[in-house]
Amino acid sequence: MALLDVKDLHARIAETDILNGLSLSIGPGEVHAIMGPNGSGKSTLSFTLAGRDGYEVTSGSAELDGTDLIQMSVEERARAGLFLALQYPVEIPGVTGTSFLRTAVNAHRKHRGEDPMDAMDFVKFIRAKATALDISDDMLKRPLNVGFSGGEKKRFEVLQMTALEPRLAILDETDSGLDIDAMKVVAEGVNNLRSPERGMLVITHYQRLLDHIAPDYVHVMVAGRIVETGGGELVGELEKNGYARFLAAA
Amino acid sequence: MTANEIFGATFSPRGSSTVDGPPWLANLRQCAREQFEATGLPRRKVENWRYTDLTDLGAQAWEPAQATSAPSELSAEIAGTGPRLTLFNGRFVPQLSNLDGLSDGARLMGLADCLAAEPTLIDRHLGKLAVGEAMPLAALNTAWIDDGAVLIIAPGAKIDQRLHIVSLGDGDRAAFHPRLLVVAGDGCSVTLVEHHLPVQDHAYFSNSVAEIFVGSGARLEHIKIQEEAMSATHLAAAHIRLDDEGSYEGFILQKGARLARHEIAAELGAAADCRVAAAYLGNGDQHLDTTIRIEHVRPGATSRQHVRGVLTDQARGVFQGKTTVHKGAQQTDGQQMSRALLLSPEARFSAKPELEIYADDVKCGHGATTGALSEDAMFYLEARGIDRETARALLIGAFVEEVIAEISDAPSRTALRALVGKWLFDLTGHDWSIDLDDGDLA
Repeated sequence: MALLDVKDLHARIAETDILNGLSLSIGPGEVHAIMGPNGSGKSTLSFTLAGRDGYEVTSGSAELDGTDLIQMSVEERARAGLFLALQYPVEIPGVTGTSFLRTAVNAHRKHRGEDPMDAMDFVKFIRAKATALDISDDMLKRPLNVGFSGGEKKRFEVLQMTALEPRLAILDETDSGLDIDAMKVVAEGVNNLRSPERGMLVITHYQRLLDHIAPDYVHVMVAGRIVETGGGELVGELEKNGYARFLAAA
Repeated sequence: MTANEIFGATFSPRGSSTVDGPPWLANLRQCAREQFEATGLPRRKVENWRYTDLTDLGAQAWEPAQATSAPSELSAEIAGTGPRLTLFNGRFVPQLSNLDGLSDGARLMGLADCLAAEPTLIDRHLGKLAVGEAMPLAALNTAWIDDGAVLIIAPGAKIDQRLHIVSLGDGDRAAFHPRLLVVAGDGCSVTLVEHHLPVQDHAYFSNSVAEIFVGSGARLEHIKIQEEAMSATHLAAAHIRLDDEGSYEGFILQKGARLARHEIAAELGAAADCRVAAAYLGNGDQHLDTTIRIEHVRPGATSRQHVRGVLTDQARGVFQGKTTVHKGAQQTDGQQMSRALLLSPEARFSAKPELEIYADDVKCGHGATTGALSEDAMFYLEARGIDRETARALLIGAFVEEVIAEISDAPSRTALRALVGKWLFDLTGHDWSIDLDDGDLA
């Protein structure tokens, strides 16, 4: 059974149709990439799957592990194993990175019927994962994302993903705003999370992230639908020829 | 009888007072009484009272609060462990106080006792700051002076104990006038926690006045917690004078009372440092006013005002901040910031930040914002599996945390987080118990 199964999904924001019959199936262990020009609906797809307010599904279906996502609230989807790494992580003054992460991890543990982790145990748990992503204790202690560089924010997103161990991770333009070193750290973090049970959906404009995270499938999205699907070789073709032929067809 | 009548023309100048005190005190009371009779309660026509209306207060019937029915003990939570002076309806209650083990260099005592036994300790200070025609409530308090709390710190004394003053209010339609005098000697250092709370939910009126003298190079941290009865009225003013290089760090939490105001009037000496942070949490039909006036009269002083409020239901918040830089006060650094978080469409917030500058070499600024919880932030937390009410508690707590973080005294930060957490629990059904100082990465 597919991990994520999206069928003929239509969605709109404030009366404007953005997704126009999108279908996508991601199996366990697979990494899919969606590429597409600006305005093709890539971020709308990620927010719609995450359940954000204002993204209204008008028809079609989306299932995670055979469970209907559309009827679930944002936090229920997250606890069911869907993780969205944001393109623009939000700054939250007054909440330290550690407190935020511990609250999130404990929300998942509670959902699974496990005891919450206390502060000391959590520090041990998170510190090892943070070090691998080049995240210092100082960053963990600072208010979440406040004053972080673009690269620091994205590394922190990957740290959250590492701590929450999702079934399906969606990375929404995680490469935007990253220099090449930060991209390598982020890509390595993502690659470390690849596993036979986990699916990944990498949304990006550019080839460069996909040089480091080799996808199993590449989809081209135009005007709210997937118009072409191929293997890794499609990335090179898009980089060379752009989206012109798909835009013309749409 | 209306408040103006009972406190003005017809009131007994001594009420049920038990203390005569020295002759100068009678004179002080008499002048204050005449002053109050001339002005009555403040009206909204007065700029300083533009957003807080005392018409209802003046129309209600009040009786002088009785001091005879004090509870026999304090809850452990309120009592704490350190030195403590407790007032009941403005009167010092020895059996609810704990003044043993007070550090050398600190004197903490009832005002009436001080007036009876050692009036010369305070005759140069009592009634010297809280005077003036623009302060009718201070005059009302002074007219009724008979007891209260006195804290005197010897010059150079470093007091590492946290000193508590607890003010208990009780009695429907009962009015009382707590008086606090703090004299922090040159070069001393001390932390004072002032806690106002009820015995039970009565509609009493506490009209509190503090006069605070911070000596040269002295440092006073003053944390005030206003948790009065939800049907009570709490009007308080702290009149502060900072000598050269004196430092005052004030924090005010207002969460109780139906109608409440905390007003600070501070005058800063050369190179003095005055930092006031405040938080207010309002629900129901509460009206919570924070008014701060800072006067830079000598050069090189720094002032900070940082006020944050959370308002829900039909609650109303007010912030008036005024920084005045007088002619001789060059190199003044004065900043004000007020932020309000409105959680319901009926909640209201009024802000009036003001700068009045008569010197040319100064750095001053102010800002005020009002807004709802960020939907982006809510989505971010929910997308990590945190449920909506927890996310709300976390974000509201974080908003308030930014002023709590300015408190130097760590145990007070912890105590205030607990109070904010309790309020958030009532609001959201979820604990706000993130450990900011203590567990994480310590």
